[in-house]
Amino acid sequence: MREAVQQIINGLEAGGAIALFALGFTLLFGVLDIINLAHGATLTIGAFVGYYAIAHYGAPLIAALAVALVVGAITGVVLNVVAFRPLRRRSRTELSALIVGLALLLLINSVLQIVSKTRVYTFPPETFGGAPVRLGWGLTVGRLQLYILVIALLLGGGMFVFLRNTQRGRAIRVVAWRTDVARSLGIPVERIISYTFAIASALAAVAGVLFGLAYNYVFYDMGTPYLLTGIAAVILGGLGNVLGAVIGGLVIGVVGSLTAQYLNSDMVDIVTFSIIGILLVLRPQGLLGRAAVRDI
Amino acid sequence: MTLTVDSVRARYESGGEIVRGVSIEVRPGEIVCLLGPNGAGKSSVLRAIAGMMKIVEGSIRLGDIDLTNRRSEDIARSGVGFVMQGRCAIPFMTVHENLRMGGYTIYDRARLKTSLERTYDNYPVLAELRNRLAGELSGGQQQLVEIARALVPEPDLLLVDEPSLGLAPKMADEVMELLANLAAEGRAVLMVEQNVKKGLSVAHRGYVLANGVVVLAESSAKLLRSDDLGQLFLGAFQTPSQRETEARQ
Amino acid sequence: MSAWYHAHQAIIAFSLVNILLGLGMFSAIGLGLISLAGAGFMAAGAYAAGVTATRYGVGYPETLGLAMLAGGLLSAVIALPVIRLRSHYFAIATLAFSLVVSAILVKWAWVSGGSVGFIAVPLRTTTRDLAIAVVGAAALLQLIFRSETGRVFRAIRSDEYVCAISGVRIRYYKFLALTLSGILSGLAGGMYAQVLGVLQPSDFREGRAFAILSYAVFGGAWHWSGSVLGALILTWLPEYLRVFSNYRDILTGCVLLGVVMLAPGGLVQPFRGHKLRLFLRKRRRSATRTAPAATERARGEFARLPRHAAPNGQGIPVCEITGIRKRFGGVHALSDVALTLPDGGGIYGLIGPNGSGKTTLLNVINGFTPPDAGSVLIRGDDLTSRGAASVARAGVARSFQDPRVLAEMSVFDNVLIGCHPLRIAGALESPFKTRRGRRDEREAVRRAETALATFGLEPFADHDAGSLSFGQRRLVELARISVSDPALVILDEPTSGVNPVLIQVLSDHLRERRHSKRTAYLVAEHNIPFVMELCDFVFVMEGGKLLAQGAPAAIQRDERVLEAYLGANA
Repeated sequence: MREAVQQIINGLEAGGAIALFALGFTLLFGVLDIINLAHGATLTIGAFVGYYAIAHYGAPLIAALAVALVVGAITGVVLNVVAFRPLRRRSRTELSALIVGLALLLLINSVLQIVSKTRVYTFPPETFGGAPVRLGWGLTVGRLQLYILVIALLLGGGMFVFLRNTQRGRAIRVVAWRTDVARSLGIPVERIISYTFAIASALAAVAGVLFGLAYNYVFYDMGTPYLLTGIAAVILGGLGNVLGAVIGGLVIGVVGSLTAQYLNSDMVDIVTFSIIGILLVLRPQGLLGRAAVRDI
Repeated sequence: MTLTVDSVRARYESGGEIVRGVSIEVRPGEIVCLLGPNGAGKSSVLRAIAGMMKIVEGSIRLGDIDLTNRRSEDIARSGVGFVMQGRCAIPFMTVHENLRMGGYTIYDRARLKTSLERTYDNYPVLAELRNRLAGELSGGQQQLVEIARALVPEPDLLLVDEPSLGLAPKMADEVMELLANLAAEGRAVLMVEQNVKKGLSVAHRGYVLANGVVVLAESSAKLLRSDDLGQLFLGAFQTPSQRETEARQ
Repeated sequence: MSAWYHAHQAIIAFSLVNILLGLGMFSAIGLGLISLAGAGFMAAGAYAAGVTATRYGVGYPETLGLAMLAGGLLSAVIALPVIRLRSHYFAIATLAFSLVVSAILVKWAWVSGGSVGFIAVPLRTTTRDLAIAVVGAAALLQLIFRSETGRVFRAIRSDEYVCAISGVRIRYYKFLALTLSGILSGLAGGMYAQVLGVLQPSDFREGRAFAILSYAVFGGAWHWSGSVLGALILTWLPEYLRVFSNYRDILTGCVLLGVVMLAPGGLVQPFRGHKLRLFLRKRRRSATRTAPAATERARGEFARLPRHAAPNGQGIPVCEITGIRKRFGGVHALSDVALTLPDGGGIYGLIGPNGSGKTTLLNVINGFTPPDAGSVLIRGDDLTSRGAASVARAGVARSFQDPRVLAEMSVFDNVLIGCHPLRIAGALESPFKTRRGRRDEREAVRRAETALATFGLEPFADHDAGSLSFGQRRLVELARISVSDPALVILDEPTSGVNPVLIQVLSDHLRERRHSKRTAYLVAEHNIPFVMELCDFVFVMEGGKLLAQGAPAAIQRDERVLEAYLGANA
């Protein structure tokens, strides 16, 4: 039993990072109706930035996260302006958006591959210093693990506050609901979309740093598997539903951890992808999401 | 600030040209009603003013501000409020949040606060419903929220599209009264109203549209009395041959 | 030449495999199905062939047969739950499928040799075999492309609503397309296994799935040649860019990005240049034309009655609806509406103020909106809640307030789709030009040509329907819905946005059709003069109820109607 709870705690760490990634992903879908595959590349960019900040410049965790956040936001805005905004002027953009995202993913991965010379980066051991925190009942959580979890929860919570209680956050939700009503209220729709990209990408970048630290693994292609995990989280919570993305992320993280422990680490993929498949067949709107997914 | 619509032709993205040469004027303190059979282009005129259609000919000015073919959000910031047809209150936000979104273009927090307080003073019903989700309110209450929301930034011109649609007669009356008060305060109100008699009961003037052009422009008193209005709808019911026969008699 | 060939033999073989995969992908994307399941089907075929060849010594042609079977079966099974999902969810579901297949293969070491992989598949597939497979697949796709089946596929991709009201069984066609995709991808997998000799589950994951997708998108999803081109370029490009070593993927990504941004229809798009396309279409049309007899053309009558046509004068009302109720949330859109359109043709008007429920009523009659209560009988058959395609096949046609046309298809093709309910040869039959299929096509072409003449659309026959003006698209829509000789035609605000000249054309056409007494028209309109001049009988709606019905003269004098339009006093 204790073992299981320990695994759940471990799972929450990954789950927190997945939740941040999924949050941005679902935000983009909710507002723009596109599946942005380049989100995975933004994650990797964040991981690289975090690595350089911590391993090369010895920056503290918070500083590294701050830099990653900013770089991520800029990346998002650039992607929007260069690729997704021109696409919006056309009709029937779902397929194009998928391919554009894919192409960008490929591009960015390749650039990072060259930059990193295909090496896997690991953090210096000092990063993980500090005694594990005892939680009682024999449960422990690594100090860094705890930081990661707390940061993920803080950012996630911050997003909620932003979306619910600030004018800009509310404007994003109105734009996601109906752009014509948004316009009639004087909301600058294109600019709000840029903000959305910035926020979503900032979160992905932070998630990248957190993943890199959690698994001590920074690699040019690391975004792709997380992309798939993120999609699973988003489907579980409901595409377009922000709270759902967070819950979905945490659940997927925990499920993954438990699967690795009690079944086999090979099975994690099967379980994750099967969840997506089964959900889409039985309940495409996920736990909390919108129901309008069926075709005519 | 007077609204001047001058010989405007406008069409939607999909191509159909609905507004075929319309000229309208609305002065401060006036309520003007757009009437006419459905499909005549009444709502489209409002949408054209609000920047949601492509103006292919003519111009739209509010005072000395040119609104022709500008983006909707810029037009909203230029002092034009738009209450769209149907339920446009943001259903997943509370009444208070809806009103705050109405004040999106107000950057000064103090001014926004004052504006909201003023709104609650003017519409005590909304003060009671402050924390209710707009989606749960009745049709009439939602319409009230939408109008109040459009008024938060204190627009010079208010466009209202079919305010009584889907409302019980009593609610519709209250909404009409509200609009009348607005004009009394010195705003310009341009309204599309399906219910001819209700609309003309509060409006000062009316324009009758048919097939995308203005066919009649009169004071509402005259319109209510005239046979012409009846003719337009009634006469529209008569076939040309019937009209001819009647005319000969 | 031979030296070059031998030096590049491997990549030639792989490009042929990829072409085959691209063709499989095209089968799905041609309908607008964004399928990422190709990797999974390929894996199924590859392992079916590889394992049986290595472990059980199965003969070469049999392994290929098994590969196709594996792919086809798997796709048929997947198709059932997945087909009803909308595009994003469909893409994700198919991706999940591919990933699950790959993950299962990793786990199922007995079959796959675990993540390490499976070696020693006999190398039996020659480049010639691959070439034959590619040519065969391409020939099949071309047959399909030129047939009604292909036309329906393209129509589904263009606008599913139009397909529904033309009686197309959309899900059936999607199922067929996905199964074909599975068979071709499975075959590609089976050949791939026996060309490479080594199988690894990681070869069939998301990388493969997206690569296959990009072949089709890169080249263009309109014609299968696009997928061929896409597969060729995207296989060879990295090879030639190998010179740039590290920059290879960057350049590939740039090229992919560039094509999608600049040529949204894929590379083949520019070749669909205006004049070339018009020329090809015109030539194709004259090949299939059978000039109808001059008298037939003049009268607008057709030699063969539609399948669904009951003999006239049987007395069964063409449309009878009773007790219809429909609520949307708290709004009662329709309350106890009952309406009968008797046998014998005629033009019926449906008027009423905004929000009176006209559009909802039309949607209920033609099957888009199932009512909460009540029944819809079309010629005596209860079709309540059966869906738009069934209602269309029973002889009900419908136009929309904003004319819906298949934008990327020619006007002629648009009208041809209207004949779909009349066809006897099914989706599997028509590509192979059976006698029934050829008869169907001749009849359809004859009707289409007559309709084009009637509505004056002949000069535009080969143009993209989407390039026409609003009024012309309105005419295309009318032509499309008239060719199948429907029993009931529903026109939703046909005069909206249309200039007076076209309105005249429309009313002339309706008057002419009235004489045949075979078709009933239900015209929902705001244009009161139009309705009063034209209609034999008028229904008036208000607040979700049928307020009044009668001859136009009576309606004009009805107090209640006037009040509904002018409004009661405050």
